[in-house]
Amino acid sequence: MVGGYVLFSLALSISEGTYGTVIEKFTKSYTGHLQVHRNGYLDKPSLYKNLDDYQALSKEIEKLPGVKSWAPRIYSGALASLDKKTSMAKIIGIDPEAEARTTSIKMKLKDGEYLKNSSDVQKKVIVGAGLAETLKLKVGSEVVLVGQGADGSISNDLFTVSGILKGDVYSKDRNYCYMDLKAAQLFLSMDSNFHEIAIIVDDYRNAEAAAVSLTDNLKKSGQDNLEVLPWPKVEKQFYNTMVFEKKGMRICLIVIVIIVAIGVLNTVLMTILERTMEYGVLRALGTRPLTLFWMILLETAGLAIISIIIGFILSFILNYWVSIHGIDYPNPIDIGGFTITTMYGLIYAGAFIGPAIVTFFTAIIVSIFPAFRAMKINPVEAMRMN
Amino acid sequence: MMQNGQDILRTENVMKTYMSGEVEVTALHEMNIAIKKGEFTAIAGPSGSGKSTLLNLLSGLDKPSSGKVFINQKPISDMSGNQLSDFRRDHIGFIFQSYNLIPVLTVKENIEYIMLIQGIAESERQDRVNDILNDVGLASMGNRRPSQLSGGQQQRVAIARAVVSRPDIILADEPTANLDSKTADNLINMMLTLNESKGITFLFSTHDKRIMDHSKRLIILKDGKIESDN
Ligand SMILES: Nc1ncnc2c1ncn2[C@@H]1O[C@H](COP(=O)(O)OP(=O)(O)O)[C@@H](O)[C@H]1O
Ligand SMILES: [Mg+2]
Repeated sequence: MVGGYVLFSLALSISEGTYGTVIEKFTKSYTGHLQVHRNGYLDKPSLYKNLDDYQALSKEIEKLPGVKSWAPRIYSGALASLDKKTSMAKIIGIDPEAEARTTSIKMKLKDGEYLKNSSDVQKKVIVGAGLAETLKLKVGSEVVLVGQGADGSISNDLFTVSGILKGDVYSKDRNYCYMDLKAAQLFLSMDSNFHEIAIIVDDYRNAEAAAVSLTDNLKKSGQDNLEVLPWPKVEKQFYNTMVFEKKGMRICLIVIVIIVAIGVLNTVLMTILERTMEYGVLRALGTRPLTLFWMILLETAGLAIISIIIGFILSFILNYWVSIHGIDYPNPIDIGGFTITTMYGLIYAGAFIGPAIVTFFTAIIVSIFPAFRAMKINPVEAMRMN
Repeated sequence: MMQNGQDILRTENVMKTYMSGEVEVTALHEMNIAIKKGEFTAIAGPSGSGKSTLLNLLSGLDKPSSGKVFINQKPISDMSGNQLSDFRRDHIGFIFQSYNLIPVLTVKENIEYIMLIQGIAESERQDRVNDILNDVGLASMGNRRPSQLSGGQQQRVAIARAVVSRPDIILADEPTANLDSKTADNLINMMLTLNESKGITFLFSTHDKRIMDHSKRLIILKDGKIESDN
């Protein structure tokens, strides 16, 4: 019974931990835990659905409990060309320092240097692996960008490639072209406006709650044309993939629950059956049938509780160890586009409560039938059994 | 408490048959027997003569095929399962051939068990357990488990368990069969002492000649019938 508890608890801890790792990796790769946009931007992005009051917004975000970092962004499409080659590029204006605090962009740099914050406008870009490949860009190349400004004018300018990003498995950023927020605002004639704020809070599972409270606070301060969305709503496809993967894992967990239940069944049946003689003696000595029934149930419950306590201690130690050191997968698995080679556990209440409930109730349910039989046994025959 | 000489257990034309495959075996033929308060009775007879069957019917552990068993003048067939359990708990002590102590309980707990289900208070239980452990000479073994005792010691625990709840009668099915003759003699002497000093009625089965000699009344069974009773 202890073994079953520990197995189940570890499985829960690892599966939750692995999803946590994937979601953290994903959200910190680009999306953030929640995002702020002008109403409707996400459904139908437009250069004009922008955020303008940077000061007021930042004040509300800073007030949010659990906020770790946040970064403003500007988006637009452009044509990028070098020599005779031309390609579509997605322009993203970022605050280099804030972005580096919020996402893992700096770590995705393959060649060259990351952007620096500075007071003057820098015409430097960091390009995605796809764009670099199509245009044969190198660090130092000068690329021409042609886009359309918010005032309707065609803008074009020359930018120096400062860095090139790695081709990620999750290759959303293949045609991205990052530049400093101020450079983007100038290029797109956007004054000091921008499109998006990505926010990281202390835990991705708190994103929903943080989104609700930020929405409330913004409304209170009169900014009711803004939309705050947690990552599951921003990245619906990824979220659905996670839900789907979790469903797959649930089948695994059900199998484990069945194994645990069979283990418990085995233990309980064995202890009750091998004690048939004793129950015969107890009946002969004058124990009422129903008293015997309750004695057996109570004893099983006691056994289950002891197993749960021991199991809890063991799996707490084990889960804690796995949450720190992880377990290496012999064959890396792919979850939502991320390759997982090491699984980490997660310590959370459900990983201990779930197995406790399963262990306790299977023990009780499983003991009802043999307890009922023990109640009906013929003491003479039961005592002959030894 | 009932008076000496009153019937504790009585049978009226009791018969018991078993099905052994297709064949019906008559273990006890119509039998009339009465056990009186204060007696020290041995039931003797060869193996298969029906001794165990008779004891099981008398204690209500088994039901007769026909005829009636009375305990304290009351027919068993009129008693509910709980009444029968309570009757055994309060009026009958058992000693089994293979001791049948509960292995997970200590000696003290084994002895205490019946008093526990009788609802006797903790302090009273402890007093009685300590007294009886002294009586059977196991005062130092109270916290051991049955498996840590010899066969003779285990059977003395079984006697203590049977006596401690102060039953009217103690039924013992071949209590000495698994013991060597010296231990068996000690045990019978202990039972005799309890019979004489505490007035406990004993009814035991045996096929040990020397033990029959100690008995005050000897019933001899053969092929499920009483051959002699005196
Ligand atoms: N449960 C049973 N099923 C079938 N036959 C039985 C059963 N118990 C006892 N018998 C038969 O009843 C007869 C009397 O047995 P028993 O009362 O055990 O005798 P004793 O105790 O004197 O050795 C024997 O022939 C035995 O084989
Ligand atoms: Mg027998």
